[in-house]
Amino acid sequence: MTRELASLTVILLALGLIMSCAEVVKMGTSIGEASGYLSSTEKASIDKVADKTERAARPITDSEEYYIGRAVAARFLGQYRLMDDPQATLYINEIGQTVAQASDRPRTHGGYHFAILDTEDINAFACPGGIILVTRGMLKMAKNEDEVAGILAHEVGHVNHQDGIASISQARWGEVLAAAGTGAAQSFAGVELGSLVSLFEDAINDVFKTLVVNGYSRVQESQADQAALRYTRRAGYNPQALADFLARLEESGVRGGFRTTHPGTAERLQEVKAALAPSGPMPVSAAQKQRTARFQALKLSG
Amino acid sequence: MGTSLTGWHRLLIKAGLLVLVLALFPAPASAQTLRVVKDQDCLRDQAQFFGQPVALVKQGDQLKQLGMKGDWYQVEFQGKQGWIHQSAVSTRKVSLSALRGTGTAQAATADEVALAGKGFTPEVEAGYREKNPNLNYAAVDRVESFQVPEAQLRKFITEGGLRP
Repeated sequence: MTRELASLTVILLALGLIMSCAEVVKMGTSIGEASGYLSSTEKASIDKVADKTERAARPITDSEEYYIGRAVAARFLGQYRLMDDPQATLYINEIGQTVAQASDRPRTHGGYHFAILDTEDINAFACPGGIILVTRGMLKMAKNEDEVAGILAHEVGHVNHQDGIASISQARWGEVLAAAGTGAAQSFAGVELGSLVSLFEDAINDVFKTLVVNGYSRVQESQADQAALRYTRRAGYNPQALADFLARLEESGVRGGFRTTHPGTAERLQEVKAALAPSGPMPVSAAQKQRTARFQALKLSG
Repeated sequence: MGTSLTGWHRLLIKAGLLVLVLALFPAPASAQTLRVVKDQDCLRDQAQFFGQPVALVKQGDQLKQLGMKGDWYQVEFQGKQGWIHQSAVSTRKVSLSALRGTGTAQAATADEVALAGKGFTPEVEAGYREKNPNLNYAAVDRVESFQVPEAQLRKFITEGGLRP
C-alpha cells in the first residue's frame, strides 16, 4: 500500500510540474504528506514552487492584466454608481493599501485602488490588476476596521492569485497569441487590431461571468481566505475579525450577490476558524479598540 | 523489506523533485537585468516600502541586479543604487525580433508577443471602448485617481497600531 502511495505521489508531482498545474501537484503533496513521505514544510515549499510555475506559464503581462482589470471595472461602474463620500473612500483606501502592502504581491502595474459602490447589495469584487470594489451594503454589515481589513484582504488575495485572469481559457490565449503574432510585422493596422478587440471583449466576458454569475471555485475562495488571514496578521490587524464577519454574514441569512458569488459561507467560516485555532484566542487589543473608534466615527456601519 | 522500500521511495521522491525544481527554476545569473513592469515606482534606500525614494523608475526601464534581500532586489539604475520590491519587476527577456516587428507568427512566443506590447494594449482598449459606449471608463479613471499619499498612509498605520 505504501509503495502504491509513494508511486502515486511521484506520478502526480511529476505530472503536475510538467503540466504546470499547481492543483495536480498539490494533490500529490497532500498524498505524500498523509502517507508520511513529505513533511508539512516540504509540502508547503513544493506547493509554493508549483504556484509560481503555474503563474509563470500564463502568457500575460502585468500591463495586459491591468487593461483587463480596467475593462471589468468599467462594466461594473456602468451598472453601479460610485458612492460620493471622499472621507469613506479615503478610509477604505488606507485600510486596503495597508493590507495590499502586506500581501505577497504588493506591486501591480497600476497599483491597488479601492472604491465603494453605492448599493445596499452585499458584495465585493476584485478586478484583475488591483481595482477592488466593495458595496456600501457590505461595509454596513462590518462592525469594525479589522473586519473591513479582512474583507479587503480577501479581495487582495484574489488579485494576488490572479483568480479573475484564470477564468480566461487557455484556448482564448492561444487565439490572442495567433492574432498578435500575425500582426507583429504590420504594427497594428486594421484586421489584427479588430480581432484582438473581439478577443479582448471575450476575455472580459469570461472574467465578468466568473465574478458575477458563476463565482470563483471553492478552492479559490478558500485560498483567498487563507491569504486574507496572512495579510491581515502581517499588517497587524486581528485576523479573527474575518471569522467574526463571516459568522455574522452566515447568521444574517442575507440573500444577494455576496452569497451567490462567494458560495458556502458556513464552510468558509469553518475553514477560517480551523486555520485560526492553533494561535488560540485573540483578545481585542487597545490598538484595535482605537481602530474601531475611527471606524465608528465614519458611521459606515448599519 | 518494507522499511527499506519506504526509505528508497522517500529518497526517490526528494531526488526527483530536486531535479524538476532545478530544471524549472535555474539559478539566476548574479548580474541579471530586471525590467520594471509597474507603471512607475521608486527605488528606495532600504528594502522596505517606507524607505526614502532614491530614483523614479518607469515601466520598461532596465535595472541591473546587485543583490537580493527577502522579496527585495538591490539594483542599479542610471548610476543610482536602491531597492525595489520583486513584484514591481520581471526577469523575463524581451525578444529583439519581436520588438522590431520582424518576428513572424510561427517564431513569436507568447512571452515575445505580450512583452513586445502586441497583445492587450491601450489601442485594444480604445477599440473596445468604441464598441461598448455604455462602459463607464470615466469612473474607472476616477477610481484610479484614489491614492493615499505615503506620509498619510504611514500616519494611518502608526495611529492604528499597525505594522508597515
